[in-house]
Amino acid sequence: MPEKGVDVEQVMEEVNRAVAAPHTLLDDFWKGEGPRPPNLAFLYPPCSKTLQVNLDLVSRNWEIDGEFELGSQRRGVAGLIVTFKQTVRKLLRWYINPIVHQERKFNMLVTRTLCDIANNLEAMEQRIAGLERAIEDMTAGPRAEERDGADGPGRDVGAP
Amino acid sequence: MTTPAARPVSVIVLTWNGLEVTRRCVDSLLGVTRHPDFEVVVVDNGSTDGTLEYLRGVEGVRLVENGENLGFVKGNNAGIRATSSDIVLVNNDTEFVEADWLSRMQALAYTAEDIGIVGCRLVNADGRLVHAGTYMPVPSFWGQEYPGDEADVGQYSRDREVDGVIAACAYIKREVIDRIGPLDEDYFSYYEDTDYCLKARQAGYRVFCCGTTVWHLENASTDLNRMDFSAVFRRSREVFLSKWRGYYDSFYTRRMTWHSCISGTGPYARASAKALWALDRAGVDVNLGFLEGAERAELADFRVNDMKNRPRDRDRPQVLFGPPGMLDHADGSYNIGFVFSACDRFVTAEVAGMNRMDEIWVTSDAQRETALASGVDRPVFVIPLGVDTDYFNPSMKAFPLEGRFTFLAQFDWGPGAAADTLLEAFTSEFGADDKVVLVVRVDTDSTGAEVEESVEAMALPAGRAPVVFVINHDTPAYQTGCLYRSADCLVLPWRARRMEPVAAEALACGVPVLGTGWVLDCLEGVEPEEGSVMEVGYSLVDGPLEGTRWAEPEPSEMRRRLRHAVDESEPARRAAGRTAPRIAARLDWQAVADRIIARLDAIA
Repeated sequence: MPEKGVDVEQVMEEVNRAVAAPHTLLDDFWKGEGPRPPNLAFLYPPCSKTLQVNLDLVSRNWEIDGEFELGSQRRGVAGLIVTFKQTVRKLLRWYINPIVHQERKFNMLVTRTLCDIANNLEAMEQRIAGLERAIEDMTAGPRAEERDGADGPGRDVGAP
Repeated sequence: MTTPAARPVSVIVLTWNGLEVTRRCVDSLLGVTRHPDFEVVVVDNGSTDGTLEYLRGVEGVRLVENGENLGFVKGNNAGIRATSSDIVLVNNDTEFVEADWLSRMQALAYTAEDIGIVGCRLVNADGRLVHAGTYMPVPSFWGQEYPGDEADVGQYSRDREVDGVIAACAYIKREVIDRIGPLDEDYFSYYEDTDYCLKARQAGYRVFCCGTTVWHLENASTDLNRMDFSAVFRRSREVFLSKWRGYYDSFYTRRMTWHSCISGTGPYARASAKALWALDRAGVDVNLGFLEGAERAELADFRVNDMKNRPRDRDRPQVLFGPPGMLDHADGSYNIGFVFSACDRFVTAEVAGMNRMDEIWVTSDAQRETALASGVDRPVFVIPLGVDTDYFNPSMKAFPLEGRFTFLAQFDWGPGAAADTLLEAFTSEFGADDKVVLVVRVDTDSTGAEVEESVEAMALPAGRAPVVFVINHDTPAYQTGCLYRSADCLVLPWRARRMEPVAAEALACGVPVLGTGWVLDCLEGVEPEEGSVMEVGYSLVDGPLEGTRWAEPEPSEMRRRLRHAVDESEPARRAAGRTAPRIAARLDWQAVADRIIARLDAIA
């Protein structure tokens, strides 16, 4: 029984292409920010999981938080700076928090919608596969009958 | 005495219709083959599709016309009787692409007096290797071919002794025919070749499969003439059983039971299959049991599946090869726990299970020390896991990246792999101008998104040498040697020990390895050539379970070793190439089977 999977030759071709033109899901983000992206590439099996990986990443990142931990790198005045930031945060909460809430809600709905679409797609793929099997069975039937009914010269055998 | 190359040989091609395949066969035979003294004899079994007319017009072909379909066996025997030299039986659905195929087969046949029959690798129209020798699973007696159905990636490319070969392309010395006669005419088609090889072996000859390759469009006559393959096959099987069942009954001289996680594709299943094949070849009647999974599941591996179907026998020595927690399944009269620890200790519950066994097997001296230090009080013996040198050797195909030194690392994503240490060392050491690449083959239970997130969190420096993550690519296990051969150095950045002898497999392919001494213990008893193994220092740190420790590679030394691997790539390659035969001699599965047999004999 043949083993399933991706041939090593194909994997190395993918690696070759990736080295020539690395691309990560975060490339666009990095380009917008200015610094060069790390020279990284993430390859997934063909026909595969890219959609699932993207969905997974979306699911992990939809929940944004405006109340992240405040800190400062400046020695000596760090405490003062953190206090200042906390004050600014308190003063702006009436303005920022509703926007954060809206953004979270939007992200949640988009994530849920994408997951629904992916589930529908999977259900549709299964249905198509079922129909293809049914068509194969229907077409295989007559062929089998034709073969069984044949009575040509093939009663005896020459070479295996 | 004439030299092997000058010995006359008759290539006997049997035809029965199939003009197109016959034309390709004969054309390639006459056009490609380079041999100083060969003739082509075509035996026709009463073709009616123009094959005869074509053959009559081909210069250089001696035609034997049977006038009717005598079947495969009688047809070939007509050709054998029409010749007096060594012969090569060839099906009309074969095609020849290597000019020296005949010379190589003949040369192999004459490397020893007791080699009587030589077959070769057969590759089908889809480029898949369909034959490199035959074997007979017992008790189904459904004859099988190595390797079954795999892409031709250079496996089985060395000349090797086998149980049998098929007659689609088989070199037979005339002295063998003189001694045991032609093919047995009790068979119409199928099994006659296995029968003939067995007869030759009983007469004191050995059967080999040569590393040369011939194309074989399988069952062309069967298909072209629309005959019922199954009925002929079954009839021949019955004839075969009536002649050889007694031989197989007496073939097995030792007995044992092997319990393992055999159904899946994990390391225990893979290692078990290799061990069981080697033991079966060595005449050990193995009764197979499961440590997990469905007991009734049919296995894709015919030979192992047959072992599952043999009657249970609790009086045999019983090996339980699996995680120590599964030793409770032991129910034999003499129980052997074959276990492995990823850390420097077995935990208390595992030790208790091991101490209920009659003896313990481990894979290396380091594992033995671990067992004894953990409080195991049973006798502990070292049985290393082997390397399948038919799949891990310097002849496996390689698909290297042009112009770049390629590091390959592979691991399951998790704390057992020091991925962070490797990535930081690599990206710190190599800049964009260095012609290197790190290929990281990662397996993970989830989609792989966590790999991207974790790597992003490492904030690796921008503009460094490229790193390519190959995530969850389920490459066929038989192509792993190709993957290693496609790299210039295999990096083992593991905190946990791995059960699979990965370092030994890479070295068997002639590929240098880089890793901590902690994970190189699979090289048990092998002295690697200096330069082929680049050891990285490590310190033992807390492991995943309380009271256990594993190895943390030293980052700065990792950097130095990576650079050294690039600077010394050529000498390292050569050294690894010289280490490969040592691996084959010491750790080939057949050598491991011999050690198991020695242990079984001691127990008996």
